[in-house]
Amino acid sequence: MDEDFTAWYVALRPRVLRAVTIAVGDRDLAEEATAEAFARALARWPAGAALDSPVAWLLRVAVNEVRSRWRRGRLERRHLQRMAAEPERHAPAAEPRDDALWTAVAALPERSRQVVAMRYVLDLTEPEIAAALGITRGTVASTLSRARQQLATALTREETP
Amino acid sequence: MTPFDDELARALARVPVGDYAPITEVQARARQLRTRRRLAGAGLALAAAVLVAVPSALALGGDGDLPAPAPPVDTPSPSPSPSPSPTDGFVADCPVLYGDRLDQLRPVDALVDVADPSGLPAPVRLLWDEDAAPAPVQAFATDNRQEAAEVAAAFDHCPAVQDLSALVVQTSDGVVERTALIRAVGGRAELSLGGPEPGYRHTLDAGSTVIHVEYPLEPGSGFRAEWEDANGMIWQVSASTVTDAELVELVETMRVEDGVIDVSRWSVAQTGQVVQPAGGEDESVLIAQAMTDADPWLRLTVSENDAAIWLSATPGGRVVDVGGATGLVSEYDDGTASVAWQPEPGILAWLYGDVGTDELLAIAESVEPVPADDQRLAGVWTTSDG
Repeated sequence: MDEDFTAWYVALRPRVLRAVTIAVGDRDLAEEATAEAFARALARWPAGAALDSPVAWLLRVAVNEVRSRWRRGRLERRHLQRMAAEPERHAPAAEPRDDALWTAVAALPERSRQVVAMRYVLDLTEPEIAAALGITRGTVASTLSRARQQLATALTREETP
Repeated sequence: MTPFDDELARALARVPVGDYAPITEVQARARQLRTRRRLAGAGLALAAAVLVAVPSALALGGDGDLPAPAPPVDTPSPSPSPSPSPTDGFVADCPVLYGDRLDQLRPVDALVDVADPSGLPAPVRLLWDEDAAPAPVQAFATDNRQEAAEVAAAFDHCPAVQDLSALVVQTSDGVVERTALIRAVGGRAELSLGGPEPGYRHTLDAGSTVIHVEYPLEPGSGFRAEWEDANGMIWQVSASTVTDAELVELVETMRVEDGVIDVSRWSVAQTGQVVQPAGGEDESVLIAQAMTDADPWLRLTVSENDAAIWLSATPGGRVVDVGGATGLVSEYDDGTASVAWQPEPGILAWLYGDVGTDELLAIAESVEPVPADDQRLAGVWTTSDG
């Protein structure tokens, strides 16, 4: 059983970790939440392997975990706000403050980050995203449209010498 | 996908991410979750805290699979213990913290985006003067009063959410030297820090209480410590620098009387300022943010709560005056700085940016309520629904 899970974990974790990082906007939280999501999948194994869209499920579990922690109280929330405001303090090697795209992603509203992660990292379609998040296709489309506008400036800046 | 979509997808694929958890940690956490689910199903989740010695490999609280809220609890409070037991009256089936109650209700998603700046009361609708800094490129706010109401209704059979917290701040000549935040985090059926790991975790004995101490891998980031009192309440301390002996002394001397932590017998508190409650679990708050994207990069966060500015204190922080209010400035190694202050009672403002402290303070001093139709906010207002 664990061998099957190990292969599943190794295969999925790159995409899931990247998607959670985008969705959460914080690398450290994303690491922990991604690991927690995989642990929950293993705790239910082999049911996890039978999921229609395991990456979407893992992303949702991870985001819920972060959201739960974020809401545990004002103390922790303020701490996380600080961390979100200064992501470079979490990941000194990446220098994200100089990374306009990362800054722009971290500044997106929560749902926008999730939708961007699902669309551009997990490559889910708009109907799949709508189903995963329990929102309408119209909301997915408008959220994506606005997020694209907000990220476009950063993307341009990042590529300008 | 459009060419822009392709470009964006490629750019996002280059965003640095963290490390993968070792498979052994994932497996250990899964074993813990299975055990907890079995015991929770049998109504023994709390007992599992004592019986199951599986460390939490991932240091995350709550597995999200807890049963629905317990029915009204008529059982008497646990009896006092001769060991340090500051939480007489703690009812295990009623989570102490707001977040733990929310966990038991999931899925609940009642966090509300504020539709536009007019949804904010004037004391929260703050912005810097247009001559002090560029207009923000994005602004938004969230309102969790609806969510808090749902949680309160679901747990109306329980005691009110408690805020058992105290912040000890030691300063010298207006400069913060060290801080320690002590708070009850509830009966989560497990300690999040788990057992000792050579290098950055160890345990201390304080009488019959075992203290678990974790030092982050990044030097200078302080540490966290946790212990469980005789009534099943888990306590957590996060601090800049506190010695092992001081930590043991804290656990041995701390008491709770009438819902207030008493740290007056702790030597560290005797030479510092004690703020309590340090910032609570009342979730009926609004949070608004406005930010620029460059020259300077700024983020202003305004929240409707009574938390003290000292919660943002880190060693080296300086006490300053911000338009007549006491503020706290912190400077970071990367050239950024932040200032926290209370523009009026019940409102906390926090400005962070990549400017020097003099300029940051000048911007902070210009912050004041703006009209709901101020285009610098209304023109860039964002909600999750677009």
